[in-house]
Amino acid sequence: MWNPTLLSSCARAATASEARFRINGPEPTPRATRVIALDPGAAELVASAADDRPWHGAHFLTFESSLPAGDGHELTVEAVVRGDTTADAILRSPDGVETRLSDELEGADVAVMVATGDGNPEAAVMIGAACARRGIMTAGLVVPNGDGEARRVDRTVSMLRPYAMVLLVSKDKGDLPEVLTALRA
Amino acid sequence: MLKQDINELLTQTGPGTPMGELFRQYWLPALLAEELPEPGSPPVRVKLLSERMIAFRDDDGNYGLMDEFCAHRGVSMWFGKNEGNGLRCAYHGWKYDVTGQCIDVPSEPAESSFCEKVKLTSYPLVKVGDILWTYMGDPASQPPLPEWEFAVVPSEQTFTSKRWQESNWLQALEGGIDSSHVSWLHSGGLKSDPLFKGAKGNEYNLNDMRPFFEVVDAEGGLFIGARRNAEEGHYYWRITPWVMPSFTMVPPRGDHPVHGHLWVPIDDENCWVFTFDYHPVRALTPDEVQAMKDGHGVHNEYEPGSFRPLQNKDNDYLMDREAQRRGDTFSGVKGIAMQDASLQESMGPIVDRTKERLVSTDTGIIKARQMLRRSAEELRDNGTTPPGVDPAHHQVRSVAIVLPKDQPFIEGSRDDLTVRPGVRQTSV
Ligand code: FES
Ligand SMILES: [Fe+2]
Repeated sequence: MWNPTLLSSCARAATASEARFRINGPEPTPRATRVIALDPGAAELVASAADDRPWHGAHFLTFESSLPAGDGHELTVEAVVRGDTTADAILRSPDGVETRLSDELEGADVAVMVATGDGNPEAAVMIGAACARRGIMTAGLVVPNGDGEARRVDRTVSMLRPYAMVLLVSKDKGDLPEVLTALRA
Repeated sequence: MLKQDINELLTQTGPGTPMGELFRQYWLPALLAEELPEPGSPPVRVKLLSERMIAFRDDDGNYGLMDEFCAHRGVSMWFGKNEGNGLRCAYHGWKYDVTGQCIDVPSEPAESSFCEKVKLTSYPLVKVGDILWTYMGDPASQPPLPEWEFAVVPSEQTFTSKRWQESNWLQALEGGIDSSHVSWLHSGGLKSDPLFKGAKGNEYNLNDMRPFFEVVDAEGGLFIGARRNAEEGHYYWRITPWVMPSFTMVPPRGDHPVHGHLWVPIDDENCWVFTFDYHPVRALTPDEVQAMKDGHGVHNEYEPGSFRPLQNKDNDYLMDREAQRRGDTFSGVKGIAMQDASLQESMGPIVDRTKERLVSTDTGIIKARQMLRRSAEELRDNGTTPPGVDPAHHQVRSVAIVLPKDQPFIEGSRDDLTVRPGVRQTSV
């Protein structure tokens, strides 16, 4: 085995001056992010995050309703995960444009579900299962809307838990834009 | 990703910086009590938050922490002679008491009151547990002393070490919050380390390499829960508390002592890592203490006579490629502490956070940075006392617990996450 000859070939190269020689690669490409509000309270947070700063292509949406499959299949998590149902959901952007969940998830890297104390179990199941089927990373943000909401928040958290690899429960309404910025959304 | 100005805000802790002022709201570990073991102990140089100081004890055993440099002509007081009620400068004999007050200027006439006008900046230095703590902020807002459980249990139940880390404090702290690296970097230690092995929880850890995370805000900081599958219908939760600005605890394993860290800036490119290990209800066994002294668990071995780890930059951390190949260690570096430190130092003294690509599993780090920034700004703009100053916020524990799947960890373990004197830690 050779001993390091140059400073930069050993651990001592972790200096500020050696940091100048780090390769300056291209700006990381943004991750295709879908931010989906699950209830009316969350829809307000999502709409204001959308206006908060320029984003790198993130889509801001609100879950409106599920579209039962026309094929007679029941809407179950298993069915959605297996993909043997045409069940889908209607989403709406803050400026009123209607889209389909299945279209939005096309090419998405991460779906961030946002809920307040109101929650909407059906929406979480629908989105979570659809993401699981496509191998899309999921995250959940629960922002309790007001005090004395502990029980409803717990329900919302338990409903999201199986479908969100990461859950953040926080009283801070500023967390959504903060997290999205950190993720280069 | 962080913007450059925010990275600077969070990493700079010198006097007058927003983050420096934030740190100056808290009692901080300055040195180990064993460094000043008895009255009249030789003075010790201390650098914290980019300020150079000297710590000493007078003959009555009082602790002092003051400006390192003599008010006369700037000589280091480290050369001084510890003499009765104060420390005498080696150059021309000016003498200072533990408050930094000059009490003798030999060149002045005996009846002169000149020395009364000379005072070095000083900070309180107080022993709580095995640590000497200081408060470097405005004396008018000095908070009550720290009440961390590890520092207030009887001395035979607790052990503390410290090590120098050659990186900014924040990337060291972030390692303590980042539960997602444990399944990789530290996977080797669960089977063999005397301070971890044999716990039931280890099996859950090794059987499920892809944990889910939940981050919940708390009075003093955050709780970060990592859950893995356990028996049918149950999750195994490991819950890490973070208390502002830099206290973290590792979730326990079996009946082993519980450990954690305080990450303290020396200057912007170096920090002290204070590492504690304690048991809430029983004395540490001689074997446990010996294992800690030998550098097992989250402790480390040292270059003789120093707080510099034996494995360090100058020897490539004693990298062992064979151990890496065999899978004994994931990175080839021995020991949890140095596995973390080697990687964090390799990032450079202050990592460039404009370049990083965070993923959702980094949410704990994202949220902690945001709380630090917001607290620093609110302190600067409105004088708001930050979380973690109130000793009530110190009453936290880490937890390892198996819960039914539908139970939120914060509900299922609220009592377990709180210090209960005389009650064992909640652990699997
Ligand atoms: S420099 Fe200290 S007494 Fe002169
Ligand atoms: Fe680690």
